[in-house]
Amino acid sequence: MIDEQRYREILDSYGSEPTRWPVELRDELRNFEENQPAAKAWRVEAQTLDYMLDSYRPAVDDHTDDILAALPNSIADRFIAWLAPDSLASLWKPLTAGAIPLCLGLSLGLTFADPESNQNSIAYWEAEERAMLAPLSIDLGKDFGAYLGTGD
Amino acid sequence: MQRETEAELMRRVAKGDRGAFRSLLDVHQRPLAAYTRRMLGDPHLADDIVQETFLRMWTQAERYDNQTARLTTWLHNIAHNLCIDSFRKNSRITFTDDENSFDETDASAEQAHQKYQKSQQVQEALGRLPERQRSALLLCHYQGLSNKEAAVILDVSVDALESLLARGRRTLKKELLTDD
Repeated sequence: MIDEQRYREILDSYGSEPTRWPVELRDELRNFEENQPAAKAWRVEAQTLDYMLDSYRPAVDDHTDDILAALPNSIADRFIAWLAPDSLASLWKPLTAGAIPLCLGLSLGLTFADPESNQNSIAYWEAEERAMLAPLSIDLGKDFGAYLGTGD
Repeated sequence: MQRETEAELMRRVAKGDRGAFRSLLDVHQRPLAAYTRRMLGDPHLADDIVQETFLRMWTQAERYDNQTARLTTWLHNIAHNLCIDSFRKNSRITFTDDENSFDETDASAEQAHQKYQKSQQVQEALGRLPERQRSALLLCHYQGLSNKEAAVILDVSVDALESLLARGRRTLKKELLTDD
């Protein structure tokens, strides 16, 4: 039960703003106010100190980046760092640069390769081999004569 | 932010999710910074404590139980304990002048000066209060915590908290309102 003494104790402790009053007492305190004409004056008195306190608003800086930078790494991060320490980390750029033409060449080769090509067949390579060896099977006596214009 | 949402974010923080941590940091950094600033007076020390509080949130996230306390209460509890440790280590903490202790964007020079003086008076008066009275007042008046939450942080009963608040406000009233 809220009486004058309790109402004033609440103002003395929590101030004039009902949102700062104990939740379980708010309805009773409001009922008391409605039935007590002097309550308004007591509340205004408490309000003066509240306004004064509210005038102190310290400027606070944002330290989000500092806080995030200070966080220790997770176990997974530490494992990755162990696998690729900083000394190796600088290699990723040249490795990437070297891999690009390789990938490009592979992709071009695969794109333009003739799926009907018989270059992988045994017959193809046998024919290639025959072509390479063909000059050795020429009849030199006969063909040289033709070449020199002295043959038949 | 809803309590369930915060609890979910804290579960993700416990698994090392920096995005979840960042979301919570965005919500809680400013209120905690204001608390430590008012509590300690020294802006650099206050910033260090805020940083340490969030570091603990990152490393001890799995300990947070949303059934026991709201996240803001849990964080205030950590920050408060760090402030107390700091008081013990630095017995000579002094409240430094804070030239940026109010928002003066819409005030004329005269008004700004008056506001600054008023703000300084409050800062100094708060700094002179005994530590427990100041803590109680900051938690309930500025930080918006309930009497039960503040009592838990200060490890006192609600009645004892009320007594701390009443004594603190009485002193401030005497110091700040009798000069006018």
